[in-house]
Amino acid sequence: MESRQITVIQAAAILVSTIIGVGVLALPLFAVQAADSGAPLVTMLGVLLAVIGLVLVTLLSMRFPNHTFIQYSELIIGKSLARIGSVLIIIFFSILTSLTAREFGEVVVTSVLRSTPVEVTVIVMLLLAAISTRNNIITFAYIHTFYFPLLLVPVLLIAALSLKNAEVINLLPVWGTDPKKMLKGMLTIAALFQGTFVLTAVIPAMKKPSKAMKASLWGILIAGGLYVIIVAAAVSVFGSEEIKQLLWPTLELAKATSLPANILERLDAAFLAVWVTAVFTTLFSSYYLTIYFISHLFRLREHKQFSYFLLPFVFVTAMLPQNIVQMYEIIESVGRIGLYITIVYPTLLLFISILRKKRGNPIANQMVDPNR
Amino acid sequence: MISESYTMSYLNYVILLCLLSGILILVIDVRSFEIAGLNKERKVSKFLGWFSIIIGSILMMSEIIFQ
Repeated sequence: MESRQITVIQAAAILVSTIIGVGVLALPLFAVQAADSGAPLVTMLGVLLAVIGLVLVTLLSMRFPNHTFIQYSELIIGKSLARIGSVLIIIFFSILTSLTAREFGEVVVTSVLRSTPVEVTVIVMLLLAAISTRNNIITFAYIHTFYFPLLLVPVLLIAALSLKNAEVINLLPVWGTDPKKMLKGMLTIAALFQGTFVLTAVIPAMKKPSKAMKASLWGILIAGGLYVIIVAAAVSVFGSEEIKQLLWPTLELAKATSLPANILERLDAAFLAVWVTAVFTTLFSSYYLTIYFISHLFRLREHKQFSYFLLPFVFVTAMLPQNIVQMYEIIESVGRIGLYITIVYPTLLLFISILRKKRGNPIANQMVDPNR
Repeated sequence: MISESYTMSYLNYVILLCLLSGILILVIDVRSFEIAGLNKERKVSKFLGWFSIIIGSILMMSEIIFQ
């Protein structure tokens, strides 16, 4: 047993590095498909929806600072109903893990390792995540904090440098051409933020759970701001019609960007190196959350036995999409369904807990098992 | 179906992963839980380890028989 160790900065870093991940490559395409030149606006609206969802989840977790989501959902709605919800969450995050790994594999075999089978790249990334998830939540926080600046700085640099090729006219009209499609686009963008649910596992190990809201808002605003900048940069450089012809516009943006004085004439290789780290941290969070929740569901004190056990199942799920097009269709559908699990369900729990006046004990520097 | 994706057959990878995960759980986790005195976790790990190995063996047998 150790005292609570995770600080506000670490919690915010976990959120940022969990959010920034594999989705960053296709993000401008999703936004442009929904709103053409209004892509930055639809991204902002998507971020806003994600912020609302995260605030509600944080409020719920702050009511029960000593319990994880699995535990307090049972306190709020009873064991049998809560277990159904918990199983759905576990299934959802395992699917999210597998789709992240598959998307990573597809990008790697398309742009870097062209002769390597996609299965090998997927297995390598899953193995890396599986080995890392065997650690406790404190180590989990340290790993995220370590990678946080390595993710943020290069991505910001690429977005800033690309702006020298930007044409403001590509961003007009700012509300796009077909506002009806905006809602669907908003949901797709908000779905890219579902990893923030990891906060429900982090809050019980935070030094001051009462400051969790600060970490949530900083985390999602940094990541959301970065997403808006990337979309605005991509649309202003390429224009919405050209982006519709690109599978991974952010990668093309990195290719079109050069360092001053032509030190590096294209930044895609550097960007991909950073992106691999970003994918790892995202995959790490969703994998960790899956096995962490399974161990809580079965009232186990350790979660590491599930890290290797889940590996073949996650791998098989990852290989189910038949091609990239089908994979992105599945990612969009799963993402939208996931909003019910990661936003609607916790919101219901929050209202029921308020109505039933259910609340956990206030925290007073209690001890927490680092393995939980 | 499981072995026919648009790429190459991935059943062999699944067999390898099942056997590997089962062996790793039995060798590493069961032993560490035994030392730590976590009896419930040890039993669960033992079950998971053998389950993985059995699934891997069944898949390997079916691959050999039906290939």
